[in-house]
Amino acid sequence: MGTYLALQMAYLHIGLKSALQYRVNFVGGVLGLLTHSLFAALGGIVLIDRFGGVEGWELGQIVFMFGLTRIQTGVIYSVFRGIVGWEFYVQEGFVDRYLVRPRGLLTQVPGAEFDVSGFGPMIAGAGLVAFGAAISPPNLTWWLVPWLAVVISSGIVIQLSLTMIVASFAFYNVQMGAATNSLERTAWQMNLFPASAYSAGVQALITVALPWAFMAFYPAHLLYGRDSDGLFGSPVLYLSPVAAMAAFAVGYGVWRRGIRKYQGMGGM
Amino acid sequence: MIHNRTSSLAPFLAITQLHARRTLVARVDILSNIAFGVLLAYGLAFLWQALYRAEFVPPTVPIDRMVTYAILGSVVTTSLQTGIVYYANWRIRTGDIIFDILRPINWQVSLLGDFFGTVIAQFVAVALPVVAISAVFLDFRPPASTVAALVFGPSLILGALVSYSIVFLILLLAFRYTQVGGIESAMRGFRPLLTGALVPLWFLPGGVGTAMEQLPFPAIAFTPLSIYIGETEGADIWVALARQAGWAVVLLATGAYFARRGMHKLSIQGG
Repeated sequence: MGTYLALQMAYLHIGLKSALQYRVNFVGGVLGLLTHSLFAALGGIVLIDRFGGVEGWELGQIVFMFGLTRIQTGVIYSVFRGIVGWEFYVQEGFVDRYLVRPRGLLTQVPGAEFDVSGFGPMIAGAGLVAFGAAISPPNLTWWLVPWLAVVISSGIVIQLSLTMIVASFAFYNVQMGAATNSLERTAWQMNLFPASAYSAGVQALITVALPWAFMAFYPAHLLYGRDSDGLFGSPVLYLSPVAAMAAFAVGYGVWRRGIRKYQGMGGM
Repeated sequence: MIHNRTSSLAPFLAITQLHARRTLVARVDILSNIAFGVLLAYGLAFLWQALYRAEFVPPTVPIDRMVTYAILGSVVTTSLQTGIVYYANWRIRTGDIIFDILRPINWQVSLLGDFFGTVIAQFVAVALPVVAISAVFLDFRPPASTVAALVFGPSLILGALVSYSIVFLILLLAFRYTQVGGIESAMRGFRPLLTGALVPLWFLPGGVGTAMEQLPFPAIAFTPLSIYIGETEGADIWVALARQAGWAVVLLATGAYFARRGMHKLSIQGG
């Protein structure tokens, strides 16, 4: 574990130094993704403000939930940027380079491909959470902060797992960029509104197969003292960490299978 | 002057075909895109129904038309999303751009072929299946009139041209700042809102919608979609098409001008 952390910190140090070499790019990258998140939220805010809410959820509560998902996305963009852009690494043959080193891919990629622009969604997400909490304050309880930490970590693992599943197809097909973009766009558009706004089928899908509803929607019920208004009743409100572990088990399995099948760019 | 090459139709069509094939060959990519597209279409359809049920605002557009608008907005956005900025930016950074500008075709036209090839492939292989599935299971409506049906295609093409022109202008910043991925990422956040693909301009508050209509972005999605569902009709259709064509010409000409300046900058870097 110590070696792993030391390796990540060394990579991170190199990545940050490299990014700071080009300060305009550094600021542009962070601002770009920050404004992406804010404008994405603005689209939802305009609609929700116009219609006064969605299925009993107020504007502030919806912004709060969306902010949480943007923080999670920011971590994925910065720490796991290499997985998001995996197609590129396969196409350019960089994967082969990683595979000959004496560490696993998931050990090397996070630090080696660290992208500072992920700070943009994190900052935007924190701002949206603060804004949402200001206009619709959550219940102040002693477990609010630890529960938020659990929710954010679970959401990161869920999104990472789904990204790994889509990205791992690049081992077989080389080209998966459009699908990765679609995954990201579908995720943020679905997370922009409460899951209860969707039909039973879509709710089931984003609870079981693509568990986006666990990233913020279900756990936010507890923060706002709401009874479950989704399809699956109250038990799911507590299950974000379990959903994250299950998603990671599947994601990691698919990823490992992809690595085993991968024959290198020269052999494809 | 290596950048001032001929822009004849044959190489343009060849590049378009090449990139269309390149997109179509990635079948898992396409199938995943269709799956996410259908999910998004379902989500948007039920979302609009939920919003209409709230009845805070008297709906100016019937729900079936709004659902149609939302699904079309989603698939048009998917079709127009290409990796052209990231790809060309990478080539500018690495210097591989030199191989592109040495080709016997104008670089702007060559990239347009790349863009159109990808967009056409995504439209045929992803957007149409998503629309077909939506037509069976959701409240998706055909064009509002015969004129709307006939004009929708040309309006989409003009919208794609405006979209490319804006993407090209963003890309040109790479000659100066080396890395423009952040700007393109920001645009991906702006795009659904500014183009009217996510929220139609008539739902925007007060003067915001009117102000946004003066920008080129609504020409990308809002104009063709509002023609399709019959919100733009009669003589307004021709005004809307003229405005789209006007934006395409102005933005392409601006792109051509700054591309020439960018090439000079590139020569300095190389020298």
